[in-house]
Amino acid sequence: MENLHLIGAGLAAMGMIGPGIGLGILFGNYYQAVSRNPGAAPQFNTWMIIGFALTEALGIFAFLIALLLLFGVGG
Amino acid sequence: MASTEKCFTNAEDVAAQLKQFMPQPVFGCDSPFNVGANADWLNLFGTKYHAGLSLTQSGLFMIITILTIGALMAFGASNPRLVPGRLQAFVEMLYDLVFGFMNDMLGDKARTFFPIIFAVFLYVLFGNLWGMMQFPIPGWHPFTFTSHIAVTGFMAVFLFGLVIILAIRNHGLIGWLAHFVPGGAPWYILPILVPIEVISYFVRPITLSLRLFANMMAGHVALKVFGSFSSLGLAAGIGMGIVGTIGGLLLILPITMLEFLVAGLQAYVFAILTTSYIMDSVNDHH
Repeated sequence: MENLHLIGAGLAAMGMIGPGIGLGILFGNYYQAVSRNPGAAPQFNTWMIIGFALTEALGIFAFLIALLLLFGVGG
Repeated sequence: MASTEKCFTNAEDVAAQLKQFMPQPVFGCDSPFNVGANADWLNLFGTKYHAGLSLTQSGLFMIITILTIGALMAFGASNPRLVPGRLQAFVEMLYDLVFGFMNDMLGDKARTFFPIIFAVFLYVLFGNLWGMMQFPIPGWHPFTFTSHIAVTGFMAVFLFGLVIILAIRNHGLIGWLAHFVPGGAPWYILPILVPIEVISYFVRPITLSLRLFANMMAGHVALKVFGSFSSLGLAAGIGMGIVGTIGGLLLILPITMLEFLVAGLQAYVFAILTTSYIMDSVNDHH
């Protein structure tokens, strides 16, 4: 029972599911918008990257919890 | 790096995939350049820390990165021509990339903040790219200083401190604190909204540094894992050994290409996010 933090780290990796779906929606809609109006692509670009970064931040929190379990409180 | 001695941390305690991230003194443990590297005199909360001043691979690659950027800018931007050569075209491409998104977001204030954002972008970009470099010398490996939370964390905290100072200078202390109270919200949800706003504001340097650190570290661990597949395959006999070696080599090629994409993308994201934080603190309406 002393290595349960490893299971916890594995469970924390499941927090990547949500950002994965979110990034799929984000990039899918970005490509749809660009293919409908290719001339407007430069305007979408910056805000798409910011949306990408904000969505990815949630996955990074899950990664942080996994790291804390592996090397911080657990290890 | 000539020395393989491990004088900072007991490297045997670390998983094999993480050993590549352990900084070691470049000139060896007993070099006179290491001031107190072997003396663990910094005692914090019961744990002894090595607090020596020595040039590690991390510092060496920072110096290499700075020299690369300096040489690129010096040779690329000196003697400019109307029809640019290859080096000048590369420098102009980087300049246009950064100035393009800054102009979109900051407008006429883009010129004020261009130097620091461009410097941060180039530093992160060339740090990532030097980490992807391969040396054909056994025992040497590239060191990605952006894969360390100490480096990215300091950059993020420095930039976020700059953003807070800018915001207080532009809006005043009261105006800055008014950021955390969203306008138009009913008063009874403010006790919930204000803590959320405060947390989402102050978590920015954490996500900014963790994003870069996590992406670079996870990418290099993946490279190490796939590389160890092919080297372990050599020891597994004829049948599975060939499958493992060839398969590992075939897998490591797309991963390497992905890592070059990530190296550029994360530098771009780091610069864009810093610009967006600056934009929040200098714009009058929010």
